[in-house]
Amino acid sequence: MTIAQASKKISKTPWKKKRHPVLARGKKNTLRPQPGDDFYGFLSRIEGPPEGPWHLRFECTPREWMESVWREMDASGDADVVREFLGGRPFLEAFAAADAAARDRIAAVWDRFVMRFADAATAPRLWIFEMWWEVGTEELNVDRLSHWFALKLVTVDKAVEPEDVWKGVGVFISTDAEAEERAAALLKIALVPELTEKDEVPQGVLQALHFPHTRSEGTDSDGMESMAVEDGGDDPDGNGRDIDFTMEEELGAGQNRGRAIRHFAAKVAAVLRRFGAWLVDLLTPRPFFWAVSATEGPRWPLLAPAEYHGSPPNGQGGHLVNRMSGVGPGPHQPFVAIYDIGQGCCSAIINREWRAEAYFDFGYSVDPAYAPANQPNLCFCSEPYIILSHWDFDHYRMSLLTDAADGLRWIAPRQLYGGPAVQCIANVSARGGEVWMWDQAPPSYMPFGWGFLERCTGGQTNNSGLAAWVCVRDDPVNPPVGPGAAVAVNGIARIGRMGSARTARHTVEMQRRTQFAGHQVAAEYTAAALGGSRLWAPLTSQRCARAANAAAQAFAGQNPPYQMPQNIVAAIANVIGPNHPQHCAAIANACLAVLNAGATRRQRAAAAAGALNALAVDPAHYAGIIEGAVRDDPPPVVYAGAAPFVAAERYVLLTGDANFSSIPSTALQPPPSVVGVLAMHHGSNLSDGEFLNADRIPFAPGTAAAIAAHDARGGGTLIQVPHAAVGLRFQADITHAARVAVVAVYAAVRQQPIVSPFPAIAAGAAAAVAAAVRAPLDPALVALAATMAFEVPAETLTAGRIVEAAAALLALGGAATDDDLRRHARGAFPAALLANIVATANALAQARPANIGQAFAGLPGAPNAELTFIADSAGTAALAANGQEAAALGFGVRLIGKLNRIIQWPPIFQAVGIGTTAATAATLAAIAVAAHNAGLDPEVVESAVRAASRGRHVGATAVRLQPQARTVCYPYGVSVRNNRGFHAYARHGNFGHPHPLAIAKYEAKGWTVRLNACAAAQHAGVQGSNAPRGHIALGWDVGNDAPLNNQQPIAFACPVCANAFNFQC
Amino acid sequence: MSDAASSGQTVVVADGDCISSIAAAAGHLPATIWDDPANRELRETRANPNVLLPGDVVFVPPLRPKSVSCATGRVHRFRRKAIPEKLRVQLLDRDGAPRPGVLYRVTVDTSTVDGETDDAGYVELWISPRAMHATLVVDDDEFPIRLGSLDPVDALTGLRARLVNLGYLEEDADDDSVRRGVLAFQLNEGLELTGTPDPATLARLVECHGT
Repeated sequence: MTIAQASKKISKTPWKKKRHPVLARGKKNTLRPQPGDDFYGFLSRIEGPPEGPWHLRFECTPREWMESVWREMDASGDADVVREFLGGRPFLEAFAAADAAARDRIAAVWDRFVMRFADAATAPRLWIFEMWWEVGTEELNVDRLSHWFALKLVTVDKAVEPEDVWKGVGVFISTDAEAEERAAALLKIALVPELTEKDEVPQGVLQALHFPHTRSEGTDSDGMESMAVEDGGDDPDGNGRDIDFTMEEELGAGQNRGRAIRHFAAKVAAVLRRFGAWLVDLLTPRPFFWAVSATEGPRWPLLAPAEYHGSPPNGQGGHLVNRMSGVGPGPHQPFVAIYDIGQGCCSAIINREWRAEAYFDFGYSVDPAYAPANQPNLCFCSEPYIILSHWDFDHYRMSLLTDAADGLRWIAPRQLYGGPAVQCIANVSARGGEVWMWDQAPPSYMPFGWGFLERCTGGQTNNSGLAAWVCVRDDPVNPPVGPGAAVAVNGIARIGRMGSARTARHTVEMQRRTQFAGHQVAAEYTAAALGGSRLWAPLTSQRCARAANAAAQAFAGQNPPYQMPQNIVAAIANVIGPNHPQHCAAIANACLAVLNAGATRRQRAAAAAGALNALAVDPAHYAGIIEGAVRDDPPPVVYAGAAPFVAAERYVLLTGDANFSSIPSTALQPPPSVVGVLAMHHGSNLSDGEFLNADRIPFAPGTAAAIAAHDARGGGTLIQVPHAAVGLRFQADITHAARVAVVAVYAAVRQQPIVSPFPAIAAGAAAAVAAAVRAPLDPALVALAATMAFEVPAETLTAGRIVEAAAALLALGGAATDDDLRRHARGAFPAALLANIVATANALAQARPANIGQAFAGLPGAPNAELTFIADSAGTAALAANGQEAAALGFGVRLIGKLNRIIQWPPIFQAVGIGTTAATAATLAAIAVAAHNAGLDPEVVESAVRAASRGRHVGATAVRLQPQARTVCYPYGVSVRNNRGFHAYARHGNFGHPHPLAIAKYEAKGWTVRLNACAAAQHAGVQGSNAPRGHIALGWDVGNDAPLNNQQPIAFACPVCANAFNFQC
Repeated sequence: MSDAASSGQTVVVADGDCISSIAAAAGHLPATIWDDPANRELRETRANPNVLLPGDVVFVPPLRPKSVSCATGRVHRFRRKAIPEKLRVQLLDRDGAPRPGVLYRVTVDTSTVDGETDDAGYVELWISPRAMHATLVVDDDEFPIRLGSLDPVDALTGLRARLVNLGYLEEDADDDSVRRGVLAFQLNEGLELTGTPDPATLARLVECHGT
């Protein structure tokens, strides 16, 4: 039996079983096929605590479409190539074992598969299905991420209400611009097996067909459709005269229209490319047109006068600003733009000329309810790179809503993904863009003028992508060159057949071939191509030839009058005639675009595309025709090793959805100095099943958090996490909430011993009890308690409910009753405990002081803790009162250390009957005491102690004396809009965005200035924030050596297209 | 006449039993048993004589003697009254619309009937009240049918059977799948989404299924 035959072995899938109806005699019975729709769903997201519930996202491809494609592939032989590649193994295993030839073969198949998505006639309609899932009900776990499932969904045309979601209904949203949304119930779900029935597509095949494959450079040995237009045609002698093709011929070749247009576009692109290359080559030694045009008025719009006034005057009518990239001073404040695109992520690196150099993530809201009122009119005038942090739909959905970026260069990590990503890649590939896949494992990086990208170290989608460090101060030596050991690796590859062909263009042979065209030949070829096509129907081939030739002569003659735009247009008009002014301008613009070496690739392409636009060419094919003519960028380069950085630089860190613990440079001691941060995973406390790593969040420069962490370690004593059970003795100094918390925990331990192994739960419970009995409650204490609770993953579900209960009780303020506690804490506490906890807590609250006093009295040799504590507290209070906040904090931290030494005296614990559970909660009390004495938030104290004890104070030491920078941007929010939208994370116990615990972690590192990007979100409840919402700017005002002036939004206007945004900062 | 025949007997319903089959076995008309005063509680519990739950107890009244005068020395022919039962199945498409004009083949015991669904999509034919199994072939689908085994809707088995017949469930689905099937049914029928077989859901399920 061959491998292919073995792979065809049939294994039953659940819903192919024969039905055995049970019917009644006599009366009516009904038999109906299953009413739902079948899909193959790529599990792209699991979010939630290990115990659930989980929020799942499936990227759905219609099953019927996928299986029909597979049948076609079976008939064509492509399926056998895939089976041979897999060899009966799981895909990733097969991929790891494949040699170059095998990868080339499957890449050719992949090319053909992907291009089905580029043509509306063959592309499937794709959907996203999101739902909540109670863990433990099926064989579905985190290991199943990036696997394909067979789904049957019952959908109805109905608006999804928020409460429906919690009752088990999912949301079904199409990925196209219309974003049709339905309610859906999941009728069946099954992991697609490796071996399936004949028509069903196996797991490995689904993964293989969607995974981005690359071919060996320059190879064309596998029968892949040849891109003759890319390799110079069959014209090694260089005259190229045998290239003759027309749109009619393409249409007459039996292809469908979409394919014919693509073929024709590719051929025209090749011709134009040669023409463009020739023109550029012809004119390179001469003063280029840009210089001449300056005397005649701008060909391109000049930079707009709008200016950000955060920097001081430079004495020349402008202001001092940083450069971010390029050379010389620019007139504007560069910054990182965070766009309001609803739920998702989309940011841009705006340089000193206010041109977008790159987009980092290109997302848009999956849920229409969160989308902004109008899709932001993004600017592509400077041919920005499109960089994806990872292949998550809300980070690239914009690509399916606009084709404006399809002609650009994309850089993304190679990961497993589903249909929408293939759709994105197909669009870019078909329309002249480039998609480069970053293969190289971490540590690896890619330097740019504006900073660097680095590959993250995690295993799942969120944490294995790319993070961006953007220089916003521009130290003169930035960007640094790589260290001597830096090695450029073959760690990135362009995908798709366009990619293969263009990669081949960089080989010596291809370079030789592309240089053959003489200008006369090029002009004629261009004319022949355009004139013979329907695209340029009003013009004859002869006219086009003469027009192009005239333009070429004008440029080549170095006759100054011909270098004026109007003269070129006039020259062309002389050839074409006065009846085609649009065409004259079109050809002239195209020529000028090519000539204008000072313009960016995108500007040239836009001009040329604009020329075609005047002639009613399908906009979908602009880029494919033009981009190739004017683009000749070298491929991007990935370097192995750690990214070099400059200590004096200031960076904005763009995390995508990657946890800080997976971003290599955050592990450095010290890490790069960060002055603005985009919150991880939109502000969630979780990513890929891992909690937000507070240790690796950089310290905000110049903040009390950084100073405290430095001081905590700098005192010479490593301060352990305190256990301040002794705080019970000092009720005058401890907050009532903390005291009650400790008592309640004690009650919990006594009443329900099973709780004792879970101190974090008890800590959260304590906070909840405190919330019930104290008004006003200290919300920071609740958050801190919950933060600690969440450090123990096994307890997160219960802890999350505790937080919810605490929040609900918080809303009741001092009016909370015992009944309120029982009602809101339902589910958070064991039932048996719940019945008694309030009464027990109250009783013990009355009884404890005497007991403790007796305990101390009976312990000969106990330290004179009381006197020590009072003295130290007085000292701390004095410092705080005198405004020496940081010093007071440091003193307070050391005070905790003293407490720690006291309470680590075991007999005390034994005497008062407080175990580790209560000690954990008591830690809160100690922290609260120190924070109170220092006048700071308890998170800061806890963070300082934590950093010092774990040796991560170095980062704090490095930035503690820098100018203060505290801005964190949360590109998301939680609430509803117009009573129809919902978000599955709305209950913050289920990790809302931004999650209050995440906020606490950021604030503990000094990131206390909050900006919210999603205007549609209300940021309500305990996540409440009055911070500005909408488009956000992160950056650094070098002129003032300070954060951007948050009193004055940046009034941005693109100097080319005049698109305008106001950015809060 | 035996004691049972003279005083009646109780029958514990087994899988596949309904009043029709019990009546046929006992020589009664179904109405005789169903309407017997001793079965009043059963009638109140099970609204439908064709849908009983295994374990239900049915009182079978005694046969009533009937005297007929006959002349000796001649051949007489007696005909016992009996009521055949019907098999009625409505075939729907995925969207819930009837499927008229569909060719089918039904095999009950050893007899086979070919036919075409009526305008309302019904397969309808007479069968023996004691028939336990049938096979329905429609297009490429073959349905081995268990007759008389449909339990009341408020029993889990009855709930599952109806969800299976209406396409919301696989026969061997686990309990979680039953919840999803109920949820899908509720969603499709515009009911409150509870995921549990509440009275409104059960009533609509009976209405949709017909039994």
